Amino acid sequence: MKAKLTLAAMLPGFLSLSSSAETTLTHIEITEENTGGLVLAPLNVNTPLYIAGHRSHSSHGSHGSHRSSAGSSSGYTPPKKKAPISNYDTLGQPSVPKYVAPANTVVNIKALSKTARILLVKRVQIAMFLLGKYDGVIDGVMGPSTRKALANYRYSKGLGSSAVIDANVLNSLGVPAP
Amino acid sequence: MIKSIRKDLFYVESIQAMEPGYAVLKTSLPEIENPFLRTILVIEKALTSHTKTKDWFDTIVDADLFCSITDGDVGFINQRSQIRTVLSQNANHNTVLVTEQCDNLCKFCSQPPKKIDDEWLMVQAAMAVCAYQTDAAVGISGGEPTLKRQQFINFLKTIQTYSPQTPLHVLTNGRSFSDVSFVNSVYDATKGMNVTFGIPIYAIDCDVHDELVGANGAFKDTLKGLINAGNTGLNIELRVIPTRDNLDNLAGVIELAVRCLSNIVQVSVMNLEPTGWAKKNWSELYVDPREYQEVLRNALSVAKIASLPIKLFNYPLCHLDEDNRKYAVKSISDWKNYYPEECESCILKTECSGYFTSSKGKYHQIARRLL
Repeated sequence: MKAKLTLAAMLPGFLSLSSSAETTLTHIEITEENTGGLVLAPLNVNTPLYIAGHRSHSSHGSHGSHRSSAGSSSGYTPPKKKAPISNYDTLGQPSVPKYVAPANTVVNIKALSKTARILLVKRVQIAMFLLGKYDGVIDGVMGPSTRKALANYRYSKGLGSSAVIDANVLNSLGVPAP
Repeated sequence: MIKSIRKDLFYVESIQAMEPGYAVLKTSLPEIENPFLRTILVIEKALTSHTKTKDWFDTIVDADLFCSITDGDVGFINQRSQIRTVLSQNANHNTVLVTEQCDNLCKFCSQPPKKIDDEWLMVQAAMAVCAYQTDAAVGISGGEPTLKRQQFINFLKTIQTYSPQTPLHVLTNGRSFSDVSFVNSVYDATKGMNVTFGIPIYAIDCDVHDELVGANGAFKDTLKGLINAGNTGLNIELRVIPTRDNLDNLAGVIELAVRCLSNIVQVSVMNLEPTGWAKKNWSELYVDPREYQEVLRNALSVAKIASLPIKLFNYPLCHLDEDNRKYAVKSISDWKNYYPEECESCILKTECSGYFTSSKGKYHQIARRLL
């Protein structure tokens, strides 16, 4: 009984201690030089549970099983949520044979139906985005930015400098011809 | 020829004329065109009711393939008239290859890098994941996926946009993560997704690690990368392969994970796979698990004390002491997994990882009596 009373009496002291600690912490400037280009471990920026007064009981569940022994001094930070760790060995996959591009055929975009044309342009846009050659909207429309990106891409691959979608460009991008 | 649990490669003569690359394999008549990949209808036998009705998909007739796939699986067509099922509901785990280039040259590399322009691999892999629309985890493997940083970010962003529900497990050497701005970009590109990075560190002695991965300065980059990625909040699965060179470092690596790294979701200790360069260096690297049960026991206890999840990969249960067995998982992908004849009567067969199909001849450690 006595111990409980003393603890309760010390609570305001704890609170003021923690608030003053917070203010001193903010004065430390963290720069690239004194961390050596590393990200520092996140500090506990949220109010600890024992001060917050156990308002949210739902938050207990996720903490329950992480540490088996109180007072463990390990630096291991448990992850926040369940991450996809495969229990399978994803190392190693059959080698992919060298891609052999078939002979160039003319793709007549105008002859495609409207939906097929939008689909094809979208695929080309996504493929160019993946290669870092296009950063516009993926909308399936051959607008000015798509044409410009396509011309740049063709030029960089030695396929001329026009902004045309033909089998050469589709093969180079890895997009199936319609 | 040792037969794997699941056949994944099919020879279909009629695909000779088709272009190589990924395709969605349908077993029912496709109604709408897949936005990312071309569609192929696979039918058991030629029937008039299944004749082609639209011009945007091809049809192939193959009973073997038909029976091995589920509607909507993704296959890869090569120019040898073969289809490999890459993303399949029938597989125990799916992986896509995004590049065959790497900045490490690990002595035991199972997929030795090639110096060819393979940009299209990452494009097609992203398309395949987006076309497949699964909520089961997909492995991203290489090569080193983060080698071309901007392309890797765009790869993640594409999946984040079109298939955010797909959890990803990315195998990387973590060296690119030594760059803080890259880590932040990866963090942003994976927001709202469930992504884990499988990063190997083989030793706590930098020389031992650098020697094993065949690259000077690799240890420094990877360790920096592990610190940055963990502290930024990326999920990390730490991987280690015990070999003759780093066996005495094993417990140390686990202790490093426990004391110095954040956000480690699992440590995976992996038995050597006799494929790729591991075959060439087998006699130099491979240690019979019987010789290091005590080392494993120590390493496992370090993790256990800190409540760090730890698993043993690719170990047949009979190669482990009884107390170490509970950490072993059935880990080998079904398309390269088999059980030799002597395993037929084993009481632990259903829980056991079995062997790699490449485990044969001098690379094979025979099944033992369970003690």
